[in-house]
Amino acid sequence: MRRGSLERQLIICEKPSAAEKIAFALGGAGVRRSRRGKVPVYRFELEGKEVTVVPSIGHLYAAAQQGPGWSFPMFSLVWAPIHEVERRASGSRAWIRAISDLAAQADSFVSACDLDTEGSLIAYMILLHACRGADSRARRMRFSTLTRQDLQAAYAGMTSTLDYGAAEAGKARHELDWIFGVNVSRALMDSYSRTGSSFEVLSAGRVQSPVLYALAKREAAIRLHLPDPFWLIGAEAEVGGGIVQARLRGGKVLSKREGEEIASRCSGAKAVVSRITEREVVIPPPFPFDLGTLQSEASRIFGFHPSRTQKIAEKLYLEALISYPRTASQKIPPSINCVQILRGLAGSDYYREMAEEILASGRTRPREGKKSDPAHPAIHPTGALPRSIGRDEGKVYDLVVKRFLAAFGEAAVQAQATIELECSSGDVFVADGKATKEDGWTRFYKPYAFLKEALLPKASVGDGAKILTAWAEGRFTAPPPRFTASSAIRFMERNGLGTKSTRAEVLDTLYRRGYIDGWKISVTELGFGVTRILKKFFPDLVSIELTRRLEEEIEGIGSGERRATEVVLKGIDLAKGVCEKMIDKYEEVGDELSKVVRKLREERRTLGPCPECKSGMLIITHSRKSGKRFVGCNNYKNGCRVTMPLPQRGRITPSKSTCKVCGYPIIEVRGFGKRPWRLCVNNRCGSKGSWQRGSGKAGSEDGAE
Amino acid sequence: MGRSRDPGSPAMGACAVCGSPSGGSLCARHAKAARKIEAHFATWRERAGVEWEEYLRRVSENDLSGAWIKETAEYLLRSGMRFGQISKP
Ligand SMILES: [Zn+2]
Ligand SMILES: [Zn+2]
Repeated sequence: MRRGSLERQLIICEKPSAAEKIAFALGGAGVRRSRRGKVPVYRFELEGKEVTVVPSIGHLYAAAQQGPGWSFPMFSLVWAPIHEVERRASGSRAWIRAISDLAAQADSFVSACDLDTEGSLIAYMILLHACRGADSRARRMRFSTLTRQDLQAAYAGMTSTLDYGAAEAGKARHELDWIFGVNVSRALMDSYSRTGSSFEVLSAGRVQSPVLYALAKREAAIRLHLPDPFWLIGAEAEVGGGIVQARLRGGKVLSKREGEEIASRCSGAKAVVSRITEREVVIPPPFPFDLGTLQSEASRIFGFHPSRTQKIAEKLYLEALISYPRTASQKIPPSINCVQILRGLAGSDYYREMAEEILASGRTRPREGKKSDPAHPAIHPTGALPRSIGRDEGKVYDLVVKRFLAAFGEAAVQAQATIELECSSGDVFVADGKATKEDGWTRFYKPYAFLKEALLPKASVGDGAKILTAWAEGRFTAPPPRFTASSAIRFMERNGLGTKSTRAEVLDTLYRRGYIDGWKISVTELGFGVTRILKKFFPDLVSIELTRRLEEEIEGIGSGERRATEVVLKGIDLAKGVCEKMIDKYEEVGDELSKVVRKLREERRTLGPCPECKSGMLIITHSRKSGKRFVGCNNYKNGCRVTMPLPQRGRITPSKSTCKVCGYPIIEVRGFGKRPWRLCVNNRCGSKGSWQRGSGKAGSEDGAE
Repeated sequence: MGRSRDPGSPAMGACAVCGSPSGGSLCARHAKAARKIEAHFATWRERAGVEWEEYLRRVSENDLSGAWIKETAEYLLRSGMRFGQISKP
């Protein structure tokens, strides 16, 4: 290695793919690649400096307990190498060593991690620990895209110090999450172990718990929904030489008898056009995407889970195709050269026509939304075109590009009309129509948006008409909708729970712990049980208010309004208060927990209703003599003698579906290292052969949800 | 075929619908559901002109009914419990 009087500068990046982009953007053809173990290293000369670019792999340090052992309460935490804290992070040891070695030879340091609290914290911890206090000598590159132009500008304009505010805010958030998570989870487990059993790992968290509580509340409302009947009166009418669909003005009819009376007196009745309304509806173009809106659009259109969309968008960012996706902004500041981006997009056969139309129109500023973000603009394409792109990446990329283009479009205009038809009985029916006058921005956002049309015949007030037929349609009041992952994320956003980069992760944790389930989220018995206990004994922990206040204070650290120590101490006080409140009620908590666990075990061994006696439940039982497991009906005492053998190996779980052939429950068997297979528990069923062979096919089934 | 539980005299401390531990004859969830079923009967009778048993049947068969409502309505049907007879825990 060349050593001379050149200043040696170490640039630390968040991920390997970002490091490669940054190195080549700054060093061009002069970049020399090498490796330290598995860690890629890039070197080049720049402005009289010998520059080394090295990536991290996300966080290399994490909050951990100070000292060994299990104790509660626990407020002493240290920041330790993540491989000492999490078993699955064992690979990060090599990265710390490589960065440490490189730091020993460096004179100056630059953080080029993602520009948000997480990225700032990642760099800060690496500089502080792996680079032995180099944070005080480090500078910060600030960029929102990984394009050459932005990176060169970020290097030229880097700040003279680290962004300590953001790093401290990130650090405080991690510490508070750790303090709440560890203490509340340990309090739960401690009280539970005093009932003489230890079984489920129970956990609760600062953001996780209020979210779970909200989901459980919704679930209970759905399960307790009692639909009330009402009726809508529909009609088919002849007017202006055409046939239209119409509905009774005034909405619901609250009695069946009344509904039927209206329908019968209007069927075949003569009517006159009593009123015509017309208005123009202007539909303005959409804003460019913030992360939450991108996630909910990708969920609506492609059915992508929000965490999947986020991962794909991050990948597109690392490929320099779009700007940094973890943003709350719906704005494109004037510093971003939209004309250049549009010209870039015009280089693609697919986007050329649209991009050129916008360029020719002279509209070079997009419509913007209200939300902003101190660090990043709205998600937008960089203008670079993908050389090859995966299927899912292609979908999200296209959505981002078209949304960006749509934001430059003109408003769409629709004419909305209604024709009112009055019968001699006084009943008034209304027919609605819509016709598109200008398709505006929707042209750019196809196939993700389209304008619905329903044309009405020409008519004037006083024209004769006829109700050809009218009917009363029975309806019921509907339960509140289930949350989906994307509506749950919007709920968190509205209530200030979590941050744009952590929300999808919080939901993933709830799924992983078995508290929630399904694309349309349902809360499991375990989720209900934990929520009930938290609500009863840790009411502050499930309160949206507390979490939001704390989150605001953390943001205050980033903007310099609050000191990190002050916020963390406040959080410790809150966590202490939460734990103190329950200490007196330890026994009660333990009892409640064992009830939850008992219920959970019950749920795990209950297969479904017994098709023989129709009132018992089929339960997985163990024989007292042989210890073998089998299925029996719990209606045994009243004479139901249904029993059936079970496979003795593997983990059995109820599937909640039944066999199409015989109506018995289907179970899922998970062998060790084998694919799970499903089978009908009925050993006399036609689909049965399959289970003895263990082929994994359990005949046909229905109701598999 | 017999029944697992005689609805007239549910096992002490077990919910007659789901068997989970409870203070009265129904657990908190199913007691709440039962109260709701009673409360909505007047609306149904007025709007749809149905009597108690038919009401329970329709509610238990309606896809929009919540799971706890359905289970409780089925239980009330099975047990032949009359309106106003549901014991409050
Ligand atoms: Zn079968
Ligand atoms: Zn119950």
